[in-house]
Amino acid sequence: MQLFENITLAINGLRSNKMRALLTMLGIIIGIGSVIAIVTVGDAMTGSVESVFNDMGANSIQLYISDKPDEYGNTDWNRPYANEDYISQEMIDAYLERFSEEIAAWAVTDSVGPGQIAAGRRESNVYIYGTNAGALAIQNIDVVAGHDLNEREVKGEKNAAVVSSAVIEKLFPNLTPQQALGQEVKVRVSKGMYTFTIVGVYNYEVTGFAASMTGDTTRQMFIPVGVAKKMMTGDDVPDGYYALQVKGTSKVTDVQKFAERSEQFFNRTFYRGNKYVEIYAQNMDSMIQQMTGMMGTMKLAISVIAAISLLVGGIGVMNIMLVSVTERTREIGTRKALGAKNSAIRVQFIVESIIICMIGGVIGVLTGTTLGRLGSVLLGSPGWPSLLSVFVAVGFSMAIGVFFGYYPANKAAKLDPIEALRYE
Amino acid sequence: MEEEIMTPQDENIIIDMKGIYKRFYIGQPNELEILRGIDLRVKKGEFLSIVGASGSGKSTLMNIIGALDRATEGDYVLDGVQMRDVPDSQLSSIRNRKIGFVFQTFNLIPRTSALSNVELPMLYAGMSGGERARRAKELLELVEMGDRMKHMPSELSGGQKQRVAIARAMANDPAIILADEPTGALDSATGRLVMDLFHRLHREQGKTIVLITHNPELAAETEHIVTISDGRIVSRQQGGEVRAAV
Repeated sequence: MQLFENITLAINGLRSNKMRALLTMLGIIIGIGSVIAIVTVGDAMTGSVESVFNDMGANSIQLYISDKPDEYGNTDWNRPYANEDYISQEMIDAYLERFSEEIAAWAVTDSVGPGQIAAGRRESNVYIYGTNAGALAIQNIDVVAGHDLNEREVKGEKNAAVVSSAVIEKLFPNLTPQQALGQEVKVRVSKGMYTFTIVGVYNYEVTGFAASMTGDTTRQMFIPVGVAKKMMTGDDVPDGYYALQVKGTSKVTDVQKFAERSEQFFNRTFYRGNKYVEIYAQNMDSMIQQMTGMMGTMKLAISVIAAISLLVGGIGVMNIMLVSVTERTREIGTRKALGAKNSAIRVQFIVESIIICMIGGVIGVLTGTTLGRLGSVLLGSPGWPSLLSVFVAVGFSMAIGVFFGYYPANKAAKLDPIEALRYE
Repeated sequence: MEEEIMTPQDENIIIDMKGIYKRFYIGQPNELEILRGIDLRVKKGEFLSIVGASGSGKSTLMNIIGALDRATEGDYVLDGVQMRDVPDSQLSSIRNRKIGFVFQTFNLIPRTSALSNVELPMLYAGMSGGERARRAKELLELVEMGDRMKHMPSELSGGQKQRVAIARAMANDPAIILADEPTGALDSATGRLVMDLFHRLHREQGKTIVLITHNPELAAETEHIVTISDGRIVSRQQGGEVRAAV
């Protein structure tokens, strides 16, 4: 009934008092805007992280050494790892033999740290990692020229290197990656100067938020792990490794079970006598779950803040509606004299309140979309708010309009027409 | 108001009041008796004025006539409807269909065009949009405001506002036009024009008009002058002196 007239009337009223309308809507705008922005950024980040983890392989697991709690459940965080705490090559060999059916590939990584790579006068910064043969494939690093470090180079501890196409472009601007193979480069680290031969060039790019987690992958340089150990500074460079990454074959159907069995194998066979350290296995699924769980908590926290903001916004709307009812007492009296039923007056004011909140909601959605888009682009995982969240936001702001508009509207509806007409 | 309660009586009588009392603060120490037994009959097509000093009870009487308020005691039959039997929730319908209010301060709805103002009572009556607009235009032309239909109240002079208000009062073809000091906020020349409009509506449209005023000169123009004092009708005279001169 008279819906169109009520909407026109409400909009005319708002237009004649723009500043007040905007200030009233502010709470709703901030509340809705922040929810939309955060949800957009959160969804984009979760999506990007998930896709990277999925690229890495759904049936991959990571084995770490971690502190073993004592009988009181405490761990000594300050104790440095001893040489025998690390995962040794012997353990890996035994593990590979025991699980030969289920392991498709494995990787160990040792970080030498930052260094400079030079060819003639041209230089580039790199971050040097020692790895085993076939490790790059498991890390989703795509070798576009030459080859991944092979068994001969790793076992023989040859000075062979795999670098990125970006580094090749910098060192050999006139050569294609293919032509750069076999070129000798000088590598300087804190311990000294080494000469390497380029055997492979990779083209690895992870875009988005995940890049900030995995580091700048265009500057990585991979060398045999034995060579890397010699280049590392310090007297106590361990013989073993901190972590082992394993990719399962198609025989691995339950990656969680596989992770548990691998963990048990290491702990029972090698770490039973170790008082301080044990092996902890993690699969990608559980990492994703951790990540999404974290995002969920963050979203919840923001939603609570947004809910408070909407509550405050709603109270603001109620306040302004009460002011409006008082200001328009004579108008209400006139309408009643002309034959408006109480319900017609109530509907008129509720519609006005809904209009304020909905306009606020729409502005909030637009603001939130802009901020969310901006934020997700800055974080490198561009995303848009879902249609559902937009509908929910606008619907919710309508509900706020009804809820906080009802009391003032009811007050208007119940005014005595004689009193209202006499109101100055 | 489909279930109007018709009473067997002369259908030419629009207002039939018998022994109307109105008391406020009933049962309290400051109980106030404003109307003390009003008997009033107004025939169809009559132009009647109710005069009285402020505090005489004429506003209270107007509120009861206009279905804005109820009598504490007594019978009031409005256009065949026994008001005592009308529930509170239906009073708005009675006002909507049977009464056309004209106020001293015009009371046009702000930020709403003259046309929409005139449409308002029809809107509340549930009339369709096209029909409303057509009738509102007719009425505005009748009060010679046809060229100002799209204007907002703030763009109209006092006299123009009152003409729009009169058109609005006529919207649902009410049984009575109830005008409360309609010239009170206007200068004498504009007030004259508004009074002439009432005379014209009365003469040409056969409208029943009840004019509430404290101004004896205006009252003298009407057919009947009911003087009220201290809650009682003290005289009912023939008027029409100035009208004859128009």
